[in-house]
Amino acid sequence: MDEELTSSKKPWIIIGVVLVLLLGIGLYFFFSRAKGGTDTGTSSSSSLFGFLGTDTPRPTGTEITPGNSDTQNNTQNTTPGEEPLFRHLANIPVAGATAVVHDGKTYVRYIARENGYVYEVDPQTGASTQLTNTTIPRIYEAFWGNSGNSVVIRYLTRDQLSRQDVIKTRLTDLALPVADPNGTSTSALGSLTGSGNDFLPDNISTVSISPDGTHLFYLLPVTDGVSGTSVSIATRAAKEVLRSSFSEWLPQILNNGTIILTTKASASVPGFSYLYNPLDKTFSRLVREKDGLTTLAEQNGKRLIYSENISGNTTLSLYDTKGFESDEGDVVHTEPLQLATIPEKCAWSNNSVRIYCGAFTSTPRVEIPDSWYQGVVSFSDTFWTINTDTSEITFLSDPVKENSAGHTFDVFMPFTGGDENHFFFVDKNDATLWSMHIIKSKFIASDEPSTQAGNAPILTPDELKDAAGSSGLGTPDKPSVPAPKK
Amino acid sequence: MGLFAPLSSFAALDLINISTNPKTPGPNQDVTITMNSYAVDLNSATIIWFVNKVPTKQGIAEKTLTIHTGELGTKTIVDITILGNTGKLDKQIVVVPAEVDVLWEAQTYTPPFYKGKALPSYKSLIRVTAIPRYNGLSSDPSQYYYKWTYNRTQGMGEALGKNSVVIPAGWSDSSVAIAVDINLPGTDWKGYKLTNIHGHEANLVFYEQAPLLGVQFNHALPRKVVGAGNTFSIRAVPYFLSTDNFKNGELVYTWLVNNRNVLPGLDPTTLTLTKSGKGEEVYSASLRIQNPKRILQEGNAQTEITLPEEK
Repeated sequence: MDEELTSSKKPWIIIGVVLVLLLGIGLYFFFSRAKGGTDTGTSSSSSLFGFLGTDTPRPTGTEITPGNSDTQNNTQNTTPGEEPLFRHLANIPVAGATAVVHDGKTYVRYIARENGYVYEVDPQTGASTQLTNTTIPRIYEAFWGNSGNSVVIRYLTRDQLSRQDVIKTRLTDLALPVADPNGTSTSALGSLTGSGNDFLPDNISTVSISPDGTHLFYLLPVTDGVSGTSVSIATRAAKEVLRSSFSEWLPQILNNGTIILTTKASASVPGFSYLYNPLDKTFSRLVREKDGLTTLAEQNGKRLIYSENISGNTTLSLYDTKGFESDEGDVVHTEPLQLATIPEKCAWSNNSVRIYCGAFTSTPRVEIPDSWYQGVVSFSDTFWTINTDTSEITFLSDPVKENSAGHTFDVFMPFTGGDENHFFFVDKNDATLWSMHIIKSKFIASDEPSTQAGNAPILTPDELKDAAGSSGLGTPDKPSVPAPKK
Repeated sequence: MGLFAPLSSFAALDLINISTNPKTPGPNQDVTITMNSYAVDLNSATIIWFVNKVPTKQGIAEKTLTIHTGELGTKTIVDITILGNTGKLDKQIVVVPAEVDVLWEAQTYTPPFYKGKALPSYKSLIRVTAIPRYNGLSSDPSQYYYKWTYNRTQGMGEALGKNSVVIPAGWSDSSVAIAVDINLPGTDWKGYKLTNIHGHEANLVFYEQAPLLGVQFNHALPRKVVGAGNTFSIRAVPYFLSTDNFKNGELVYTWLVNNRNVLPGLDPTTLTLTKSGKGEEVYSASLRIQNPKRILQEGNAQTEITLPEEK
């Protein structure tokens, strides 16, 4: 009897097992695609997560991954459910990007260089949404403010008479797509809007937006030097706060309205950096007479990192306005950091203690930063973080070793933000947008106050050498050259 | 380096000369103070040094003392008592560290959005600006009197508030020297700074001018490029040629494509290559830019563009 029953059930059991297996395989592929964010279609990832109740509300729009579908958008093999270390957030050239937080989650907004469309992408899933369709072609630079709701766009036109380039700068607001009353996603897109006077003067040389996104500062060449103007992004109220007979400044406006002014850099020319106070119009000297000087201050200007060229080697240091007590009891303001990079490849953490950087592991025998700015040389970067309270340096990743495709990155326009679980950057090689998942367990213990003192470095001696740029960790001795355009 | 601003008050006739090395000390720097005299026999005198009223050094013929300057805005007061055959002599010197920063900018071309410094090339103009400072903050530059000297002998003007001058660069790979003496009228504050400015070669770089993306300034064209369509536009950027000559259209552009002269169009910095057939075509493109107004300012660049076969 039992045998009869067993034999009669057998086919049904086999069919059941097969069905379960097929369903499992189907779900596996479905989740994998959603995680990778590779869909050119729109709804699979979001609708599934919505069904599961884990989707977070966000601006409506058209969900796509811009550009061609890229099945290799993660640079490593990951198991289902595991977030990749590197994720390709946009595979089209990007003019500027920023982190935004809504509904308790961090997203990245970026503007496409070729047409000015604004997109928002979830760095955890790669799911992307197009937010606007206002066409502004050939954007060279974009700077975000007002919590990602305003963007300064910079592009070129040609003067028909002189045949000279004219730099146009527009301060626009983002009008997000509005969800329909039923709450269902619509295909309606938002726009970039201006108040009619959204054009700032022609030929502004440089722009900086305060870290809190409330003010922008720009420099405009004038007959006898340069004029500096601060603009409230909310009200558009503008005020000239600087006149200088020297014009070759790179500004960085801080949250308190003061401005770091650093001379433009060349490898063998001494550079200077000052803190300019618009209220009393004084320059406080910060760093002076450093060859190839470039700087990046934290949001309040209490500390800045700077790089200089010493005997052909690029070295990074920390400047602290308060100063450190040296072994001899003197107060010193600078401290070397064991990383070979330039501040343009670094971003400060939200609490202004950590920096996250891409770093080249050997300094090429060319003029840095000149050749990098000119696009004559590119780097293959590794990723590091430094606690500037303790100078402790932690290795985060080497993309060459992390992925089978051998993708290398030349970090450019980096930033963090939101929950600070990612380091975002543009790969200067092709101007596309990437994220690196920050695995905080690698260094979080060293941030605990009780463990700061006497902490041994996490790095191996070889890693320390690499950080200082003395050997080639997966990096050629000579710089790579830009790949031919395809 | 830096501004030396000694306030010296002498208790007697100026029979003794006091000098410092460096002449213009900055903050947190060792400074050696030396005395000499033709009127007083210092070699047989007992000399007592006080630094900020603290006895620091004493002995016969002790004519030198090294001190360490403080931060900007601090003073180091050095009192010297000289006990010689002719009696007692008191001297005082006050060392106040200060700095002069000399910033310069070449009036040479760099492309829009370029973050780097414009470098001086042959006979280009350079604007030099001095920022004097005797405490942590810069003070109003118009309050100072400036005297400028070019290549150590040639005066470039002097006046109250004249904190910048324009000078010509020299040859590439050679330096020109610009010096500025600064004083603050009504005080004994004095400053001096000598800066050598090195000349560079102009540098011509090619970039792709893409239809949708514009000029790819972040990515110079390598020696060989494979294009993607039927046309390819090259944008030439003449780094460090004089801006005035560039803007006035005074540069001479000589384009060669496959060794044949090509007349530049309305915009001589741009060359567009267009395929004539459907097969793969290879173009060797080169450009020489010369500045007839400053004859040694010139640049060369070349690249090879392959436009693939149509499929």
